[in-house]
Amino acid sequence: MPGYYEFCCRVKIISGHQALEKIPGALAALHAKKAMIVADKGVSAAGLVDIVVDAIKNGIEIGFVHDDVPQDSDLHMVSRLAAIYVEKGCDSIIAVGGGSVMDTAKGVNILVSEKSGDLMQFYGAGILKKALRPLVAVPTTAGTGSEVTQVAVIKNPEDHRKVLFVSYFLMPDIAVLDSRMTLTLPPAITAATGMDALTHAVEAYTCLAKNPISDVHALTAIGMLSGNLLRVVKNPGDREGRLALANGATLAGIAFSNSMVGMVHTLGHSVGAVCGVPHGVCMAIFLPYGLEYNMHKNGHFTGELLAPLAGREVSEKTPPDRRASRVVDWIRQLNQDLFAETKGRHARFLKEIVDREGRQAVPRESLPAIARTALGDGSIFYNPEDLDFDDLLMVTEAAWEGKPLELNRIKKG
Amino acid sequence: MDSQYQYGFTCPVKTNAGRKALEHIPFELKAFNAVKPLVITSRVMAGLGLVDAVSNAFKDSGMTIGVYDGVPENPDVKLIRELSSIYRDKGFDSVIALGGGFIADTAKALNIAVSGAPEDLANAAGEDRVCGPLNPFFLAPAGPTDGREASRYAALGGREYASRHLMPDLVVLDPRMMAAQPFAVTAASMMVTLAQAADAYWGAYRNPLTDAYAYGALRMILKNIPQIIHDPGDRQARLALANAACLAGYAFSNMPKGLAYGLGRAAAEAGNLSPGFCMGAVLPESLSYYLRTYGARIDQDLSPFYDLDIEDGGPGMHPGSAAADVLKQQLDRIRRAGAGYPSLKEAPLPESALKETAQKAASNDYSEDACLEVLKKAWNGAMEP
Repeated sequence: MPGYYEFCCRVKIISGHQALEKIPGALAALHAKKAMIVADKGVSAAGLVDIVVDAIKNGIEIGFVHDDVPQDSDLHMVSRLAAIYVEKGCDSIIAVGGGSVMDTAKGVNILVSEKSGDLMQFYGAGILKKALRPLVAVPTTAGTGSEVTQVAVIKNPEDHRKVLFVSYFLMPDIAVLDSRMTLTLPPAITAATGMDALTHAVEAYTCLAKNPISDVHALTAIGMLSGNLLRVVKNPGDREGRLALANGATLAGIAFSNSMVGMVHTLGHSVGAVCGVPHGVCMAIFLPYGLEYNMHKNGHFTGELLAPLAGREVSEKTPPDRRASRVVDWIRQLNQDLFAETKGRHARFLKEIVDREGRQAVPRESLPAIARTALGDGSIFYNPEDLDFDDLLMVTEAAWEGKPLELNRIKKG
Repeated sequence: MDSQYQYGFTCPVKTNAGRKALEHIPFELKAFNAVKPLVITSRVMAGLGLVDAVSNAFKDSGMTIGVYDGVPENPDVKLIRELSSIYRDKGFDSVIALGGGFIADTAKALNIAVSGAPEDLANAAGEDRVCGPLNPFFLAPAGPTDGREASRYAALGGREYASRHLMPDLVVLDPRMMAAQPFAVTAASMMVTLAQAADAYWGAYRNPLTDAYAYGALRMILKNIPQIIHDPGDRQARLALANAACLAGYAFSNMPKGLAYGLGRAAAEAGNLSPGFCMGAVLPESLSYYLRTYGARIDQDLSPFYDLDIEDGGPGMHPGSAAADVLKQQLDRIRRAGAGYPSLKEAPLPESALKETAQKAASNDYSEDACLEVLKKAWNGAMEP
């Protein structure tokens, strides 16, 4: 047990195959009568906004539907949406989408609740002093976990830098997990977002800020994700499997937002920043490397993950001092299986990631820049072992080639 | 479609646990725009120096705190009226309960009264009738638990309350609060927590979040039983138990009443006995019932017994069907150390009380017949082979 820890997740979670239908009742309990729905074009095109509207329209008034939030949302979009919310007399927001939509909705909620036009007044941590207006989060990937976090990251269009907002008051009031919302998620995206969720749970359990409550969420999440990810990629119409993944992603979000993450995120963020690679793709690739690199420090925790990942029998048969390596192998095998199932779209290492046009997304020349950018990422502090530029470059090169780390090259701090 | 992911769950409690947790209280109050808390506690708690511990934590805060340390073991509505007047007249804006059981009940009832009016206490009784949100309410447990402090339940003056608005906004677990207490008190508390956690983990109701919390509570207790028996004064071990009690309380707040908790409580009322010890006495048979009826959860790769050296360095893994045996072994161990009932008959609970007890404990998930079956076995005290 850590010397001192804090844990908080005030989000009400509603899960089921017909969970959306419970939104009007849940909003009524919060005295909300007129909701604004916020989504993005992809979600809308997949018909998900229609499903949400049909499920709730007889129970609550829908003031406005905005389905044009871009992938990389910014302060201008937030202001525009806030103005519409006020103009239409809305009193609540239903965010339907992935991380960007959630972050946008959280930003809008700040502006309309604080009756302000300037989001930059509220950036940083602890600026908000009271509860915001009702916010319902309906994730459409499984996923980032932003439906249960107290963080919003929004781009400032003036300088293209990402602005961080942190407050318990940013947590949605309600997170709705409904299998219909991820049923049509394509296999490669299912794989990437599932690995994102798995990474959240694994890093939450193995890095420095872990605590007993985040741990139980992480373990439960890992069981749900490992048991269902490959199955759902093979059979996308498996509703129960989809719901299991959604639950796993939410619990993983609860875990990591209460205990921080480590070098997998450090390096993943950097590859995203330097080469524009989606977050989940980076997480999948770096996850086994993070566990390898830290193994001499936190291998005992990593070993405890073998049972929820590979099953009790496998764990029982593996000697305790071999369990951590077995976990690393299992994750590499999962990446390999996902690669095969998605016919190569799920990348196993950095050099095989391609962009939309089929070009290599991470050229070898970019690796030093990635290592340099990683030095500035906050998550580096929660990593069990120190990382300097050379360490980061070593790991990045191995992850580029797809070779395991040479454990004797890891400097022990 | 029958799904194991069909549920709702809420835990509006923030948990701060560990070294110097008390010192964080002023900051946490400010986050709720509260600056003048009224601390509610008993003479016993004050006598243990716990009020001083809390007051010291405020010394650099610039805040004024009030302390009422006269809460009796059977608080009534008259007390709540008295406390409401104090709260209003002196301009308090938040309540901190120092201790559990009847102290927490008092604080919760007080919070209903001052967030609205004392008359609300009558209307707020029952299921989900509290008009929330209430004023800020923090809980600083001192170890002994009745399973309800951190939960959505309260009882006072013959009325029962159930609402998520009664859950503390903040639970503060500080080792300095874990003052010495008789082993029997610690043991009874452990049994309450085990009963709630076992009900959540193996019982009829399925929910991944109540599972997670129950798993955590079970492991924390199981890991600490040896140390608690060896040194009942160990603050860190008792902090872990208090932590487990909160986790079990959060799970308990999100599910229908289980067998072990329900039967234990009903038996205690019928025979004027220790609720904790009664729960300990019915727990193994309740668990056997669950395993026969709902299966051993062998699909769960997370066993609460995994890798724990249970009973003199034995092997780690215990298949689900042996869970009842493992828990009975641990309860026997506690009893040999001086606390618990070997059977309900020896508690003593008269045989004539069994039917009424089963009736009280029956619910949608557990029929009166099922309750009576479990109760009779627990009364006799012998485990079925």
